[in-house]
Amino acid sequence: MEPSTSIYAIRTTIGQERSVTDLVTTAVIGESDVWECPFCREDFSSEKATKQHMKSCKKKGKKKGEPKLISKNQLKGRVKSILVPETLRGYVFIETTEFRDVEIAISGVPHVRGRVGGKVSLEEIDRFLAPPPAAEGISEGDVVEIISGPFKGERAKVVRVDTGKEELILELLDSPYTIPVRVHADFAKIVERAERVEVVEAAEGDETKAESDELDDEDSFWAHTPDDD
Amino acid sequence: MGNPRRKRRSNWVGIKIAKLKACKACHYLTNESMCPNCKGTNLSTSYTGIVVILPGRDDHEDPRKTSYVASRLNIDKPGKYALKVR
Ligand SMILES: [Zn+2]
Repeated sequence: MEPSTSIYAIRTTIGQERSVTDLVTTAVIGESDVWECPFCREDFSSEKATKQHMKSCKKKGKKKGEPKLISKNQLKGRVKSILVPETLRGYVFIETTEFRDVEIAISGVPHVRGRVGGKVSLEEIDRFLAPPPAAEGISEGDVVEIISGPFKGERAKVVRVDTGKEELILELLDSPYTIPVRVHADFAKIVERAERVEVVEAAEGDETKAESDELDDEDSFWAHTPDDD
Repeated sequence: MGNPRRKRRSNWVGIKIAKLKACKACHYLTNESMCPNCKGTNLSTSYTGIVVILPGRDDHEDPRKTSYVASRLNIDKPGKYALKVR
């Protein structure tokens, strides 16, 4: 498939990505077209419905006329999708026919802080669509901090990585007992890597990034100057 | 403005997430106990990322034909979906 669309990024207040998404969705599908009967000026939502009405319109008399298009939903069929990766806070991606559609879609939407200039490459979008497995980048011997669940805040050493299940088998560091604990990799944040020659590129650590309020400004397109106002 | 919500944010987002459940089979987000999209009953409150596929002008058109995101994720019906479900 060769889609004729482009994907643009908008910046939102952190934590409001979903509400922005809901409001943009409403802007796209909430409004219907408005057609008017040329005889009695009554409104209808489609040309077909207007024609249907015109056949029996009381004000028709002997007049002739066509349904009149008063206003058209400008976004339906042009805004194709909205993506909220959530591993990247404060950003929402909108797939549209043209950049202009983005401007219409976000106008008046609260918590939109601006647009990011330029299109987002499909490679970058692919990274969000197929996020790397949570355990990726974590290895045996690393020290992690558990960020959720009963052991929240505890530090632990990675004993084993169960990549298939995206789980880590951990040994709590400050516990007098060495009971292995099974934790989903999403709930662990690397604090110290075991010594090894090559370190996995930090930018790939989505789960780590999600926990941080800092935006990685060196990270490709969002290093663009935002072109608000 | 001080931002009192900022500190509580993770909790507050958590409450909102708890409302919708994601179908483990097709990722469709729903309030129901059965997925209205595929009739699956294996639903999860644990998911990250959201994708909204919007309908075209013709309601019956396959979004995969016109949307890159829909075609990459192989989503054939407009709706609100989770990106990653566990
Ligand atoms: Zn389903």
